[in-house]
Amino acid sequence: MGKCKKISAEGRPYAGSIAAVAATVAAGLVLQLTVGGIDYTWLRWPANIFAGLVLVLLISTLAINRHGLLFRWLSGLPLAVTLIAAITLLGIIMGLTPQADAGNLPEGTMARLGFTSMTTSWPFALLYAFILLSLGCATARRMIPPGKGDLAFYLNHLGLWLLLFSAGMGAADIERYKMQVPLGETQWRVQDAGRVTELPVAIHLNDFQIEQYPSKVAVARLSSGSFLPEGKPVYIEADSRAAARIFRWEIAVEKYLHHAVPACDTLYIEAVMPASSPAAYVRAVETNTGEVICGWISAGNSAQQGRILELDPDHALVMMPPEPKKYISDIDVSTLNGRKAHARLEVNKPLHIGHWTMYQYGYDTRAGRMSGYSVIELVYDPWIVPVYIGILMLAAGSVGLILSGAKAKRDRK
Amino acid sequence: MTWDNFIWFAVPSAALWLTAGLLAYDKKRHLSADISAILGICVFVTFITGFWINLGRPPMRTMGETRLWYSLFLAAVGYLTYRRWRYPWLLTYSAVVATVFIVVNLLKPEIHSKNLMPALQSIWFVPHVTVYILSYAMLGAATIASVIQLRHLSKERPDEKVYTLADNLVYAGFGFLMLGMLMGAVWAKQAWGHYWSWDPKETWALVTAAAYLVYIHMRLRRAYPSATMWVLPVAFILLMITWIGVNYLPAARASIHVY
Repeated sequence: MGKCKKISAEGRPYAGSIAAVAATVAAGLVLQLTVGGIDYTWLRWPANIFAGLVLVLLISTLAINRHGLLFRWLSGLPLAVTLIAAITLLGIIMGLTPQADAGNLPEGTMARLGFTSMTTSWPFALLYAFILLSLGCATARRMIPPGKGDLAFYLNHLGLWLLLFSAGMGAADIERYKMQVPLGETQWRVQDAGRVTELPVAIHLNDFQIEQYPSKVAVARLSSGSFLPEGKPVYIEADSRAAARIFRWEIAVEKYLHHAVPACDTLYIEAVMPASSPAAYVRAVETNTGEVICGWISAGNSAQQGRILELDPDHALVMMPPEPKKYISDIDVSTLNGRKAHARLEVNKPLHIGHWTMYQYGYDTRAGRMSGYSVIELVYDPWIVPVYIGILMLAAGSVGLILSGAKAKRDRK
Repeated sequence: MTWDNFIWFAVPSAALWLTAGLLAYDKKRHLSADISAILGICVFVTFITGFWINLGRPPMRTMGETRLWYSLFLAAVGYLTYRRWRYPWLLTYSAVVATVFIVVNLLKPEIHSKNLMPALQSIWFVPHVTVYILSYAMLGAATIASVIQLRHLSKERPDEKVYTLADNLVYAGFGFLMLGMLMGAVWAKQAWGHYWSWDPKETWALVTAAAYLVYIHMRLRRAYPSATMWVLPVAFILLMITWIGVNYLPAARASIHVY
């Protein structure tokens, strides 16, 4: 311990770094208060690649004099630790402060300091640039001469630099649109903040399908609108001829129809059509009196009314609306430069054409299976390839950390 | 197998783990400790397997389900690191914390629907969650090592072996943490259109990873040993906020990660 104290007292290794990082954040705050948040649109192609080249050039120039005080400090551990600690602090502030979005534009001190829009604030942006510079210098220092150091170091540091660089510089080039495509029609226009934009991609919606999970049955308290048991409701999976005891009733689902329509007041029949709704024939036995209540219940939808089964004046058996399992848009896509594709879009199964990616985003949830349109999200991200290379390098570097642990470092010492 | 059967597996597992955690202090009973720990893990795995089959989907969606994995991984990581380093406290600690999470699950299982919403139906779901929970278990063990080292440091007698243990746990734990985050990013690109959306859970995951990076880099120099060791408990608090706390933060009301 005595020895350690001596080292820290002698060197004060962090003093310069803390001062520099604190000054950077302070300068960021001053800029934020005077000129306001950053609009990254000026970083759009080719400005971002130009800024990137300047950064790489700066790192290379600094690295020429690799024993120079400035390069050694920029690539050194104390600055790395201080920068990471600073970004941790900004992250904590960001994680505790509700961030502004289209529906939420906060005001007050936190907003003026930029903390409610952290990623477009000056302190964050300056720190991000500082990290790119320092991380770049640290990587360069270990790469000259090449071969010095371990593979995991290169993968982790170069991978992270590439990821941070492409994600940060590329952010301005990303375009995201939500396109509402009516069934059977072709669409290439999107509503973007009230403006209509024409995209170089056209989508024709051939078909839209929803697969649903079987509905569930619950006991509702009519006066409060809550489900029983209060606070910990039990839902019976309606398809499985399941039974359960809820509150005062033994409940059994005797028959379940996922696609049902009412035939008359007392009967539901199976009918696969857009307007059909799940329905079940249920039996409830009052456990104290033995009274038996049977009947049909239905979830209902915008085309047919739901049906509940009254158990007593304040309780009823109800069927919950079915939850979506899958929704699929069958689409044909064509781009202005002549590319064509056919796909069945699903959540988690997007379609890639050039730099565009198309996602199943949503549908008319009130209409459910009768939805007359599908919402498809289109994302344009020309920087995704370097981002993925960075991710892959980092993943390989992480495996290296797991396998070698701190051992590699000890051995080197 | 359902949550109703959980108690019949949970209580024997916890009892076996705690027994192992006590036997480990007696040098003559190492074999019994080993058998007891492994048996506890087997019983617990049996429940998770049966539960998974019964649900028809991976039991990783709800808080209660992730706690299940945390108990399992903690017992497993605790046992493996105990085998490697022969510190009995590792086994005791992992047994106690695994039991705490079992008790939480018995009292407040937070049972949710069997249905898996479309965004979660992905090949990334299982590796993303398991790798994260495994890393949480390792970083939890590293936190205990840091507390023990801090005690040594207060007596000015740091134990080199504890340093090595803490560093190894942090390196491996951080490696898994990164893998979890990167898999999450690739999955997010596939499901939500972007690999990083600054969702509150993502922000906190970044904060957690950055805090462990501070530790890793500080440890490369010998300056400020106590401050360096203090980073681990602080980082673990941030980790807990990421895992559990985010659900309660006002900043996370709109999070797509809250289940």
